[in-house]
Amino acid sequence: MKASPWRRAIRWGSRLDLAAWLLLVLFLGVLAGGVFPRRLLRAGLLQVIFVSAVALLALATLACTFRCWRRAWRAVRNAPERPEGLPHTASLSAPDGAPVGKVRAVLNAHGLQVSASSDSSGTLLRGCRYRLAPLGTLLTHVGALLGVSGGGLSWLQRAAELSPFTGDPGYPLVILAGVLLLAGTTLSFYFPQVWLLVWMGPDGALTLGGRAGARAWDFEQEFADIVAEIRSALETQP
Amino acid sequence: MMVTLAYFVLLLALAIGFAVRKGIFDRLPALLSAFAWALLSAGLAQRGWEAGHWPIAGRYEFALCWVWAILALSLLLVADQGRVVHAYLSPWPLAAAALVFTYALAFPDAQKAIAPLSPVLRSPWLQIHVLSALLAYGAAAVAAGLAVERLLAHESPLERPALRMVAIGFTWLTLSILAGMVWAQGAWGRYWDWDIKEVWALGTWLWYLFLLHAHPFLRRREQRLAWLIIAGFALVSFTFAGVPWLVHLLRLETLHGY
Repeated sequence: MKASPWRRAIRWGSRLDLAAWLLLVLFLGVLAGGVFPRRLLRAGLLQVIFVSAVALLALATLACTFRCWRRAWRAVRNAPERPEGLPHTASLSAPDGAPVGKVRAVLNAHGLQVSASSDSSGTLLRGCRYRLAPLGTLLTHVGALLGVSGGGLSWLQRAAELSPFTGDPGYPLVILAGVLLLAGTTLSFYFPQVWLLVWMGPDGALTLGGRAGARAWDFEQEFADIVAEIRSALETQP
Repeated sequence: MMVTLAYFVLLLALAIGFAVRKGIFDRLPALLSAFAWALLSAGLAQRGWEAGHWPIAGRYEFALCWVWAILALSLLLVADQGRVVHAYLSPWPLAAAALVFTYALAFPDAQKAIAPLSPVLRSPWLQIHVLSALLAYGAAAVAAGLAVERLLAHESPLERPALRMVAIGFTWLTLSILAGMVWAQGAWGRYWDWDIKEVWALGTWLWYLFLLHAHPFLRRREQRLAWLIIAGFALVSFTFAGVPWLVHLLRLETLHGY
């Protein structure tokens, strides 16, 4: 089934490489203003290019926000079902049966909140850290949109030469935008989401699977550490 | 005195770092850097005590604090070595610190003298603005040091430690600009005035935002990422040291005269 033009436009507008190119154009515009200030900024063509780049970037951000909020919300709400399909996997065996307590203790020690579910085929432990982190991208995008809107409002007020004593209507928006950008980047960069699932079969076979946000720089190492710690815990007699 | 001593200890760490890349002395640059950082911290504390305010007034003090931030972040990478694929023994972040330190010490004595803080600079927002800018600039310098290391020694991994530094720097840069806007609104009645310094700060912020969006698409990724990070440091350095020169050269008016 072919996607509607609207959907295709949103998909195209939310491409990361498009955002990168627009940011580069905007950067070059700002750089031109920084090297040849005032004189060049008064030049009509440069203003048109700059404002067009800002407007296009705002549209791309809007498309990206439209597309990513559902993805972000899903990532927050939905836990992975099985460990096998996750990017990092490992297998262990526990000859003495399913050591739920030991595995849970290891996951807890790594700051993961663990929930357990069991059925006749085995037990699944789900560990998660910073579950809300995928909302960080959403916050930064909403922040960027608010920032552009606030900047636009301030510009309109100055262009209309309104009295400064009436207050700048763009100021609160820009500050709110800054706070959202800050919260979003902090959430994304410092508190990336981590999932770690452990499936324990009745025969003592353990399957581990892990997934982490792109900014979880150390997750590969952490996953290896957790596997080693669980292995060590299994070898320890109760 | 302590500041000058810190400078020479840092140069020693740098020289040893370049001379001894591997072997029994490979931890010496980190130890000496820690010593230089402690000396610099003491020097800055003494200066702040004598001045009665944080030592962040003027470009000399800012440059010293920038060195402090570079060394602090480099040492944090060392401390975190068990978890991060790091280049902590790389002398290049230390070289960035030495470069900034040399720039600071080259200021004429009149500009190094302790001065009272002007009333407009006494706002807590200014302190947040400057302190967060210091961390951002420090992270930019460390990331650039790691990037140079990657370009010169191809086996050195770059992406994780350098991108982590860029991410740290970007967040702090955002806070710095935000706090600066709040301060400007209070001090000048306008949160943004397209002042030359503001334009360059925005340019730097946009560059890092571009870098964070573009890095997944780069072909020959690590090498190009390294160049982008080095360009980011060049921008940061120009925003700090080059803009006053540009103001003088083009006879511009700026409110960021300190």
